[in-house]
Amino acid sequence: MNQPNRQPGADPERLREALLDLDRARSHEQEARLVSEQMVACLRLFTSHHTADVLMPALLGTLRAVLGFSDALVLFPDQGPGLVASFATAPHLVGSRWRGDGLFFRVNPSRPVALFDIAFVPEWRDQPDGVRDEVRSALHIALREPPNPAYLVCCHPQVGFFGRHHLHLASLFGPLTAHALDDLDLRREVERLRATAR
Amino acid sequence: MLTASSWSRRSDAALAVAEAGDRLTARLGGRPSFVVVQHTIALAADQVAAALAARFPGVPLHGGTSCQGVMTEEGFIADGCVLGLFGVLDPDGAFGVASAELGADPEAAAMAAAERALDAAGRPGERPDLVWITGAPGREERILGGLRLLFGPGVPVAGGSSADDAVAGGWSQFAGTQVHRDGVVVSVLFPSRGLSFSFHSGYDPTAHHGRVTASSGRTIHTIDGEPAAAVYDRWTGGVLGAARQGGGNVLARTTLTPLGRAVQDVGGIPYYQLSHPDQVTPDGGLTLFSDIATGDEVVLMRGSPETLVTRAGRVAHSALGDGTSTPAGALVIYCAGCMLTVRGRMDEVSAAVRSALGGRPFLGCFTFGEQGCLPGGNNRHGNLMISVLAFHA
Repeated sequence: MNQPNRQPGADPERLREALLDLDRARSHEQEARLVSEQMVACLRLFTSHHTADVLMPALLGTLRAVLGFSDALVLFPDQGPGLVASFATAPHLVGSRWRGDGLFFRVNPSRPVALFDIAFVPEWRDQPDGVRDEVRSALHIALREPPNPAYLVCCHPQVGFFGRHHLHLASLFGPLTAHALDDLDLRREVERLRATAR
Repeated sequence: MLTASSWSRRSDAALAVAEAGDRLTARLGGRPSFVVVQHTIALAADQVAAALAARFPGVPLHGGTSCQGVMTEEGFIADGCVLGLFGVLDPDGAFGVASAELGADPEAAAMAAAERALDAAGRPGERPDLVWITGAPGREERILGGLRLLFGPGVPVAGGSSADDAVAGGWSQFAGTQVHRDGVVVSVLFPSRGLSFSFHSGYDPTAHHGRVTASSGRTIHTIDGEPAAAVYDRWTGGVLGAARQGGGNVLARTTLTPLGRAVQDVGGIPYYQLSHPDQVTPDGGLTLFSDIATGDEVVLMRGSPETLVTRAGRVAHSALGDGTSTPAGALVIYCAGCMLTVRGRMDEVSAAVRSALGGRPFLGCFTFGEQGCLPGGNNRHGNLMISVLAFHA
């Protein structure tokens, strides 16, 4: 690393602070641009993919690029109080069943939760080895609140992978994903009404 | 979220806790969710801890000793018995505190304390927004290493090493009623609103620099192959005086000329981690208050009383980030060495912090080592540094 130039009359402390502010502003601008591009990519999916079987894999693929997870699953209410993974990036995760209490009570659309190590978390300890294999950290994002909840659970093999930046991105892309689910529900309802009308 | 600070100068620990505790509760308008405690060693830590636990049953209490006094938005409160409290009222947040003896394995101690703190907060396995620590001086890098092992790379850590009044080993730390002389207290913070932080020094690099060619632990034996004390004395124009030949404590002489290491680069600007030389060894080496490694490039840094006075306010301002958040209050870690150098101007220091925080409450303590998170997320231990944690309203 270079030593800063010492110019007579300059206030190095203020200069350093100004350069740090500039660097911070530049980083924010780059990130904002990247996020808006990724949001546009998500929105394009909504208009081009109209069924869950097509949209959800494509959406999870786009979110993987945003959040950097290794795998992810989308949980919906199961029969009873629990949750079940209806969509996932890996076949072995589909159908996994989860307790809907404890941790999931704390996750809401405005507050995603990052787990630095799933080994400490009862909801994860309940999972069979096949689900927990290759997972050390997780990010739980509430897409919809009860009584019809939905959660996106992102996984990564590294301890503490999901940080402050991921939580920020989750708060931006969670509502977008929720909108995709609502859109699918509406399309299904429209199809049902059309069928009834016929 | 609300915060408040309070203090007492009563010499009886129970009376001091009663006075400061009542004032804190009145200012918060309710029972705190989390309390940070700083006191001078003139008050017995076990008595302070017991009285606080009785005054605030069930409230997470994070305590440690501060050199000669504390500072708040009301000014610099020093000499003799001083107790300072900082309370957070945040019923929708979660806070957990736990401690451990450092023993032979400081990494394991820090991990164990953090795991218990997470359990106490009801958030096992969950990434805290920040980890606040108070450790005994001496093995801070290993404490940070343990926390990194547990949490992974992305959790910010800030805090300060407990201090006494004369570097005589009289410091202590406590969590609840558990008091330590050589321990670490770990708090995990999950506030309902945001928080932000900053970690800086008030020093600039000079043109003098060299490579550490022999070291062990916290001692530099040689720089560029020469005895470290001789090199340092030449760079500084002779601040070591007679100690260069005879050895001994040089802490007060070196406060304005610490050694720095560029630990990262932000926007082309090196960020320096500072090390405060405190002793000249019989073989002409220099001991520091932080670890050093052979091969490290060290730079002579230079500060002035003026920068030490103004810097805390600027760090507090920097901790508020982009200015889109309103501060509720702050915790301030200010190096004891810096405080002793500008002791007569400490009211100016606290006024600068108060101004930067818009008059919001804060508690500052004076420490024998500072820990904080640099831009980019690296947690570091340094000397002569200032660490500020701002809670958002």
